Amino acid sequence: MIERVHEHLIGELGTNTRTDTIFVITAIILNLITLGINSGLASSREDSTQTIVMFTFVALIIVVNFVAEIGLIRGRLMRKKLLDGLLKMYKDQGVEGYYDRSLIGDYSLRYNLFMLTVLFTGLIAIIIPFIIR
Amino acid sequence: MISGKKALWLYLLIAGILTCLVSPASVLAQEAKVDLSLRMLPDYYYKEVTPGEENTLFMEVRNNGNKGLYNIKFDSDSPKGWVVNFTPTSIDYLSAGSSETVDVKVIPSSGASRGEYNLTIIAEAIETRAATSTMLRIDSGPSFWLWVGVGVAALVVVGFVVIFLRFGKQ
Repeated sequence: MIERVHEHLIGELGTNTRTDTIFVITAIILNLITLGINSGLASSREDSTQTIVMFTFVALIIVVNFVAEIGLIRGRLMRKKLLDGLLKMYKDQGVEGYYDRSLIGDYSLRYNLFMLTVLFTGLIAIIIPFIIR
Repeated sequence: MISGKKALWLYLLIAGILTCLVSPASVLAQEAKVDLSLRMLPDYYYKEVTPGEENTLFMEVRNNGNKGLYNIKFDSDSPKGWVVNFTPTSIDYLSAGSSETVDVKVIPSSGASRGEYNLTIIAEAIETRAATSTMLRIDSGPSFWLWVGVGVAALVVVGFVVIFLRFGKQ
């Protein structure tokens, strides 16, 4: 049974990693695409329709970035819980010495860096078109 | 006496000479052509202008027709709040084929934001009218949109921090 639980935890960790990767990549790609579109709109002649389109894309950036941030925070918490469970299991089996606890802290730092990357690409995608305009 | 054959040749010769002399006269008596054109002198398309200050542009007014034009007056279609003056304010007479340079003094409104603006200049004589347009660019001055961008970015940062603190709790 313990092997099944172990497999389940490992499976959950894999799913968690994939989901977080999707969040990060989607947010960054969307930010860069929107940066291009809004820069193009901003450099063209000032027009109310283009301004509305620009603000719609800005709203999209904000929503997607916030969703990505929430997703990454939840992902980080979920990973910590899964790793805590895994470590407890290793402790019960007397093999906890093979897993360094500091890895949990490294994961936490990595998640924060992902969030910062998403935040800053989002900020650039928002500000640059307004500077051009 | 001149024989009949020679008389015929003489008659044809006189008729030919008369035809040659009369025909150009009929060509010269063509309809009067009226053609007025305006051209912003080089480097003034996309000229950078400063809000609240007088910016001088030069415009060439040319009469391409074959008839002189009288009392050519100038007018402009400019963005709201802008002042456009012409020196001279009008041209009393512009002979056929000649041209004259007019100074176009543009004062953009002091609150004009950064961007591109279209200025259309119209010249109107009694017989005809012509128009030309040019793009003017304001690079300096207060940028409303920059502050909008900074404001939105600041809100996003605040939102990120709030979300981080709220959802980041165990």
